[in-house]
Amino acid sequence: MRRGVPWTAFLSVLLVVAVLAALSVGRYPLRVKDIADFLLAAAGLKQMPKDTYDLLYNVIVQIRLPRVLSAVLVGAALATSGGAYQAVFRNPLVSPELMGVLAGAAFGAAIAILASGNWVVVQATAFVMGVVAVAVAVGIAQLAGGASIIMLVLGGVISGTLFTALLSIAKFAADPGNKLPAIEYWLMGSLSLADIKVIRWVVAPMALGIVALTGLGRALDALSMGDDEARTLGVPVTTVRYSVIAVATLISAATVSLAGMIGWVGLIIPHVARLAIGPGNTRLLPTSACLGAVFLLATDSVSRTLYNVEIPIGILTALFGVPVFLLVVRRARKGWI
Amino acid sequence: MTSTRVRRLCLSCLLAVTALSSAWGREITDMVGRKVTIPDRITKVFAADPYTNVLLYVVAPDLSLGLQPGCLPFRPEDRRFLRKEIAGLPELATQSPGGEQAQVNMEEVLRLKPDIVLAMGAKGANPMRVGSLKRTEERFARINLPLIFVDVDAIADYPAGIEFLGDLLGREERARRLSQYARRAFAQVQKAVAAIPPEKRVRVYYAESADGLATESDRSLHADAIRMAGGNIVHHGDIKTHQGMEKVSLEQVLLYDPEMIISQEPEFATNAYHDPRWQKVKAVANHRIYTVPRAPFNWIDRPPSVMRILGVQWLAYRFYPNVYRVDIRKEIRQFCLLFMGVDVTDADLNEWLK
Repeated sequence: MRRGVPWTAFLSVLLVVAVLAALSVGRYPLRVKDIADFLLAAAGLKQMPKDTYDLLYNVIVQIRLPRVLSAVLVGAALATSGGAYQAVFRNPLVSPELMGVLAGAAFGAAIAILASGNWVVVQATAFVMGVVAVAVAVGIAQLAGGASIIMLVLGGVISGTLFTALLSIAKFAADPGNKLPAIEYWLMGSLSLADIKVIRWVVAPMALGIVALTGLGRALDALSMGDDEARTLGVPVTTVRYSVIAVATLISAATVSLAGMIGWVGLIIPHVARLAIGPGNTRLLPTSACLGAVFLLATDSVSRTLYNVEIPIGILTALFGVPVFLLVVRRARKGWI
Repeated sequence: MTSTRVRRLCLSCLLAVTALSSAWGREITDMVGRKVTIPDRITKVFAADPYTNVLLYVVAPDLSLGLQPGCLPFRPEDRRFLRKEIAGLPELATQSPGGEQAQVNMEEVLRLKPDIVLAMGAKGANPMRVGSLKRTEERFARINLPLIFVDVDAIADYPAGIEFLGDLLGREERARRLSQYARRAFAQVQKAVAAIPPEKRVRVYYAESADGLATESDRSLHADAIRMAGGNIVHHGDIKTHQGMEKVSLEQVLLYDPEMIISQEPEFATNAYHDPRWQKVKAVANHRIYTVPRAPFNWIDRPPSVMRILGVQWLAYRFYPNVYRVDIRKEIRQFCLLFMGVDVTDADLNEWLK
């Protein structure tokens, strides 16, 4: 616990620095001085011509801030649900996709693009179908005899396959000139979809979800020893397992609504966090949340700054993720938990 | 008696010769220079991709076996712009322009028994295309149907493409009228554009998705109409794929600061005018977002069809209304009548020109 305070402080500072850095880079050339001047002017401490102020407000607050917020939310949500899933399924290779949420959301978005193309409908359908896919997975597990890990994984695999197939049907039916590129475009995932109105909608539920998962840390620690051991310690195994699946599903489905499909973060960030502070879930999950946010902020900044076209963020998370992952795996000699 | 017999003999000889010659067919050279033997009488034509699908619809609608779903008007209310002949025909699955997704069901093609098959081919040694042409060729060679490549890749190729198809299908007269219209329209646009010095060309951003952040570079095939109408496309770069729709960030658009935005999705204009993030972009601040009409087919792209002849004029009218001084309402009306066989109403014209 004594180590806890500086670590928390370090993480908070890291996150703040990352947010500020992300706010100050982009295609529109702004100097650090411009940004400092703008902050002073916003605080009422400095005079600034209205035109300049408006332009800076537009770039920093209206364009960059929603993206930065959405990177923080999405990164934190994916990393936390990944960490919670890895604990609940006692498996290091698990990510939020395990129960089919991304496959379901992708299918939802594809049919919405086919049917209407209206953005709000696409986001809503993606969210709903993500949740439906996980419900199907849990339903299959129930049919097959309960909430054991193996049955849930099996349910997730089946549901994921089913929705991937449905997505393929939707893509196959889409007209290759117009709708298909729109679906592919969406599937690549991008934080440029971030809209301050949508962020306002999802910020509270997502933050609540992340906190809720963190609150389950102790129960998850007990669960990682095995179902029977956890029961002996008085942990309601099935309830905890289903709660984690429900919360993780809701917040990862919300990330899809915000930014499309972004892979890798949920798989690798918990490992990085584990290496830094050890396996205890009460600290691991908030650390994952923080590192996930920082990681996505960094990759998104590169994605939107490097060229005049945006590099799809999925490519970058994978490119940066692989070396980080290899490094972590090499150094984690003591086993993963 | 004898004269009747002679006459009969002559007639049967004539019939036999006709029958023989139609069985032998004739040899033609298609637009990429391949020699193809085709039947003399062509009554049914299968167009294997959206480009040729719409072209055939325009030149000889009665020979078409149906329209591809991707070519059909998007909104049900736009179906009224379609010819009556096409209304009862099935929707045919065809291949994507690149030939990559072979959606053509060969059994379906065989069942329809077309006399010839049309497909899009480009003369230029575009390495992206060579492979897909080859695949298309092999696919139809396997079922023994004469395949003819038509090259209407660039908009400027349309007059030649239309005339080629007219000669091929025995619609020389109609094709000549269509190509004359196209040549005259292009000349009018070119004359106007030539009068505008490069630095005065309107700076255009082409927004393709609902969020407005998918675009085409100045060298993209998908932006041909904008180039031809003299627009200075702000996004530059190599085209990496045939697909286009490159993703850019809003900051990049702000940096480009276009004077005008040509948008494919109708909802983009509404969104952008209300979205505070877009307000600093000059085109948005000055209310100069124009949505591409889609009736009955898209006027500019996706599918890039013969409608682009009209699209180029519409764009020139949008870009340089003071220099390109034609009666645009008359031009649109004439195009729709000539190419589509539709008499458009004043309400339609107002909608497209608002």
